[in-house]
Amino acid sequence: MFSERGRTILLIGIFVLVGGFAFTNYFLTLLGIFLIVGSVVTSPYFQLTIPLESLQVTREIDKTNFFQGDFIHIKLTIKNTGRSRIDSIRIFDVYPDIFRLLLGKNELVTRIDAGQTIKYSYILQSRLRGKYNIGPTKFQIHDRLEFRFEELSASNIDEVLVYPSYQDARIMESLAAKRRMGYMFGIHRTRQRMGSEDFVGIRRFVSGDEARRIDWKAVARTHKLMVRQFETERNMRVFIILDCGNTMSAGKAENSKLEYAIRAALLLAKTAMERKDKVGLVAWSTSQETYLKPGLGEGHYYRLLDILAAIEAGGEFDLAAAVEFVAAQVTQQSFFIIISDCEANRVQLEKGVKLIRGHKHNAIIVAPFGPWFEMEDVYLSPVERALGEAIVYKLLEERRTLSQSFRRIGVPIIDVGPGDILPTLLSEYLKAKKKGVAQI
Amino acid sequence: MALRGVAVAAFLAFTMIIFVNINPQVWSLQALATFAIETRNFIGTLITVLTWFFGLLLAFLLRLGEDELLQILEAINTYFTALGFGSVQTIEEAIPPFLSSIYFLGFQLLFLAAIIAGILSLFRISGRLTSMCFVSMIGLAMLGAAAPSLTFLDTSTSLFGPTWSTDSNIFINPGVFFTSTIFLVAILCYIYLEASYQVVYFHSLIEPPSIREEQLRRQLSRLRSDAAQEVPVRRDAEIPVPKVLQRMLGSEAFRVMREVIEKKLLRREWLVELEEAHEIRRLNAFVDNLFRVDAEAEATLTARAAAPSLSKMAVLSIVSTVVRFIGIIVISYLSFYPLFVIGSNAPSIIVESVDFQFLTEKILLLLLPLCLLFPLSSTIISRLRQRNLQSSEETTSQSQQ
Repeated sequence: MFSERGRTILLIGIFVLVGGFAFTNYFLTLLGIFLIVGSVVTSPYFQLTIPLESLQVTREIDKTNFFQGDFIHIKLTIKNTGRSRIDSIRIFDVYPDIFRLLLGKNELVTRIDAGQTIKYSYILQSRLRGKYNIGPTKFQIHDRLEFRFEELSASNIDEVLVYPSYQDARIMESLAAKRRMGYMFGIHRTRQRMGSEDFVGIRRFVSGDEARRIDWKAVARTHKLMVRQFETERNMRVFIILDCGNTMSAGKAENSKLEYAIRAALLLAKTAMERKDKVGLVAWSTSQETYLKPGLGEGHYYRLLDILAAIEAGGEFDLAAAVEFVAAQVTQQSFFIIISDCEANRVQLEKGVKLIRGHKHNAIIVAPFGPWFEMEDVYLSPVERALGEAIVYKLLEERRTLSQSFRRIGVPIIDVGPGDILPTLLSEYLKAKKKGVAQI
Repeated sequence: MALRGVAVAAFLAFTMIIFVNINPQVWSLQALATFAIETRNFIGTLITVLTWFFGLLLAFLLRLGEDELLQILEAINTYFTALGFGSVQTIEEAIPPFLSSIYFLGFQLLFLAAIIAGILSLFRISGRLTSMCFVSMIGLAMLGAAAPSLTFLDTSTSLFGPTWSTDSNIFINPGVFFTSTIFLVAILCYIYLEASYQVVYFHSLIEPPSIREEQLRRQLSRLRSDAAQEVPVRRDAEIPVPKVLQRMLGSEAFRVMREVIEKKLLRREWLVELEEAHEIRRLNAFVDNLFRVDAEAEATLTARAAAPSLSKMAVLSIVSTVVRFIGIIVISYLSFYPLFVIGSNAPSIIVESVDFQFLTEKILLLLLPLCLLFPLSSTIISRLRQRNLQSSEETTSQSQQ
């Protein structure tokens, strides 16, 4: 088809030709003919040289599964297997907007002789976890004078899976390593371990206590039968229920509640698995139902990563349906950590919470509070800020009522912002572990 | 450099051809002043006419007599004359000098635009600017041809003047046609356009790879130097806190509060800097590793290997341009002299018709079908190739099944 330049030259040609006719001027007439003929004369040849099936494109990506923030090198090899050369070709490799081009360029303007192979590459950085497509490669082929062009597209699409950021887990690992190497001696106080059991205290003897547990020194001191009490660290079963409803994706893509929730879930899973606790995951909304049964080990962690990477916000969160589903799969007592903004249907939420308690499970709700996430890194004018604060106040009031009613059922709601979602989640998990809930 | 040389030569030749054929009287510095005066006169005439209409309307509405009407019209006219807009000209008298001044100024402006666009196109190697220059120059020729009576183009020596006649043997003898000044000037103008576009083409293929390589080298060297730099540990700078707070809180409480604010603010900035430095180091490590494991990574990132060979391009360009020119010239000649093709086979009803004696009909007789032949044949080729491709894809999919 005609390019903009081709159309312009053709129109100028017609105009000049008509001018030549109108003023009976041979120079203009002849020039008009030159321009008209010049703009169309090579079109059959151009059509013949368009490489409809002779362009072979290969894309090499150094890795297809990687973490958010990692770099990938994409190399394109284009071979002209046809018999005619391509005078001018613009090659454009499509990548998702969320990726950042760091080095090189994803496009190239060049010419390719018959049988020639050309290569170029570029480096991208992923800014957000998810499943993305790299490609297709698009071609814009021009003739020498850019009077005509044709657009082609190769069918080469590669799927890449970006895992949630590993940065939080890396920081934890680095702290743990420092601690192991003694760099942080004295920072954390630890209880002295006594083999597999920890000493808790001394209490009065009751019928059924083992005689070997009697502490004779305490008996001599108090003149009463006293026994030593020990506590064994037992593993627990943790279930993360992740709200994937529409409301979780509000705000900037990188700062959405869902992204923080996923980061928190990943960190929690990592921490819990290192302590040999079994971790299960349910990512739930009306548009997706993902379930991973509680498990341990590296393989289980990677399965969890795959699921978390592919989660997309959509539909409405239905806690009752999620709990019903989980209850059918797992009959043992578990500790449910629900990460939800609690903006879904309140009736369903209450029903879900009651179901959890009905099945004798323990639960807490860690609730990312919408305005704190949506106002993060956003400039607001004084008026907007005042309005925002009014909305925050109103929502907090509503949240307080909800929190009170849930606390009565025995499921606390903890409101969190971007700054404290990770520590809160970890501290709640550690508290529950200390209490010894949902032991295996 | 060679490309720019070609572009400069083509531009100078084109400009000279147009310039030498323009009547020197055109280059009058008074063009703008004349235009301003004539515009003022024209507007004055328009206002006078409008006020006369207004006066007549007023007289009609107020049912005034002829004397009173004349008094009103005179008063209006005096008022506008005092403002400098009054005119005694009629519309018929005002329009020709006004149009003439527009024409006169337009001629100079077009030439100015052509020169500016042409010079800029030499520096920026831009197809758009080349088109602008060409259109402006052709606009000059059209203006000259539109009003020969104004003699802006010297018709006695002009190459633009109608020096051919339809019954001349110039059409019968191709040699005369191809050596005539009209043909040579027209083909030179077209060569300017084509040569400029060829230069743009060469530039679009040769310049980006070198820019890309240079850009990557700069990026890499900056990356390496940034990665080597350490983020200095922040010394807690003093942040201005209102003194009134010191009086309110007492010196110790004030000191503690200031420390808290400073730590909070400075730590945030420092963390951002640390984060950036960390990213740069990671990228640097990634690039180092990439260059180590992939020997051709640097060449592919700069797309050095994809840069076309200049000499090969030049040879192919010259050959294809010559072939193109031959095609254009032959088709143009045939369009000008269709009898060369249809000859004695032409139906007498066409050859002897009154319309055929005119240039327009004669040229269009072959030009239209010839020009439409190319898009038509390219459409047919396109359809055939698409059909072949589909059938081969179907065959492949069937054999795979």
